[in-house]
Amino acid sequence: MTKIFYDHLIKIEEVCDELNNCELNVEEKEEFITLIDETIDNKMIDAILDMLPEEYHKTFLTQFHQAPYDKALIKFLKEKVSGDIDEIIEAKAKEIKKELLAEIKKSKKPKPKTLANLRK
Amino acid sequence: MTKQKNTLDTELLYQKLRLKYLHSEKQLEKKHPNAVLFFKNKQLPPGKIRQHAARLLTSGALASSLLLASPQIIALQQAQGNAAYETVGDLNQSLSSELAQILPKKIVPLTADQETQLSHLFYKTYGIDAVPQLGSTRLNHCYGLIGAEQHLPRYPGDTLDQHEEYLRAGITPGLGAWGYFAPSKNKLTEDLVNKEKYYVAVQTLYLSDWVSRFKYLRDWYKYRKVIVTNPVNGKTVICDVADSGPSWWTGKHFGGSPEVMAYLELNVHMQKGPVVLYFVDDPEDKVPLGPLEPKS
Repeated sequence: MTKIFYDHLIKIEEVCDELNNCELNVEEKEEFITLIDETIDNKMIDAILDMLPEEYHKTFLTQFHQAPYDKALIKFLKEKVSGDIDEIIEAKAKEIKKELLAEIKKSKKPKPKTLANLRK
Repeated sequence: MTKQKNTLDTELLYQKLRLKYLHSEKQLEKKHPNAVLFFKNKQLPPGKIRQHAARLLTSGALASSLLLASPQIIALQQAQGNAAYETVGDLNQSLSSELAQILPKKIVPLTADQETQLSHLFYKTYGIDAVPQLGSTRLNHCYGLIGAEQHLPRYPGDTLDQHEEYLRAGITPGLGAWGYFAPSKNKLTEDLVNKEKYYVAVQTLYLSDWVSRFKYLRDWYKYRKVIVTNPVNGKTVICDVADSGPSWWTGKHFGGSPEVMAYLELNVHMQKGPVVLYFVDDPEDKVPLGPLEPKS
């Protein structure tokens, strides 16, 4: 759900799709998605504050807390951060996505052998 | 054929994801303790910002939230301390007035501010989460001209006379961009009937990443739910994406099924008019297709 101003940059659907391809009940899926969302949001806040000069941290956090979905926050960051903020956020999200997909992959159980395979 | 789903060691995955989450929390606290303190003073762990955003959006919804009780029918509810709209005419008129204050006089790309205001307005009016961008994709236009489309063949052998209404619009000689809605007549469910009835065409072909992300976007856009509002009269209908187009040289940005155009009162004269078209963020599929109207 688009609720945070950087959601359009993080393109996390691949991770959700991977979970959709797994046998999970609704509660399990929700729980995983919540953990994933919270991890991503922590890392995004971390990355943004890394790039943003400290003198603007309080202004950013105040606005962010008041309206986390407000696209004006991207504008604010573009003005105060040196470098392409969109690219930086996208790159960070890609890194997180890679890690999360790897964890999901490692947690997959091998598919049971079919009778056809056993007969070979 | 249904794809076989993978089995997960859910306990293992939970532990791993939880570890990642805890690590991200620790890192944030270590590197930006003042930020964590800021959130602590607001009684909000930084990772919960998304839930906080959802609460803010919910509390921004106005008194008259609308319940979507059954296909095409919704109930207007009186909210605490505020008068509900007496009729759908009042609601539409009010929406039209508010849209006039936000939308530009000409059909031009909307600013980020206008887009946000529209999202808030839809939520305030209908209690629906409507956004110009959903996930990583957005259309080339969210405010543009909609033109009339024909009925779409719903199954092999479907003919115009099998459709209920607006037969004068005709039926397309070919299939919609996503093919038949059902493999045969007896597999045509009420849900699929509604998907053809309230379909729109959108210009997926002009998305900059349509080719590079074709596999993902083709599935993503199929029957994607959208809200379509005629700002002139405030009439609003929940539609689904079932075709691609129109071509840019038509001067139009969207296409509407005969039923959609009729409801929006755009199936007259030039059979086109301005609309706002936004994605409906409805992961639990609770918002039914069709016009947004009060119960009679």
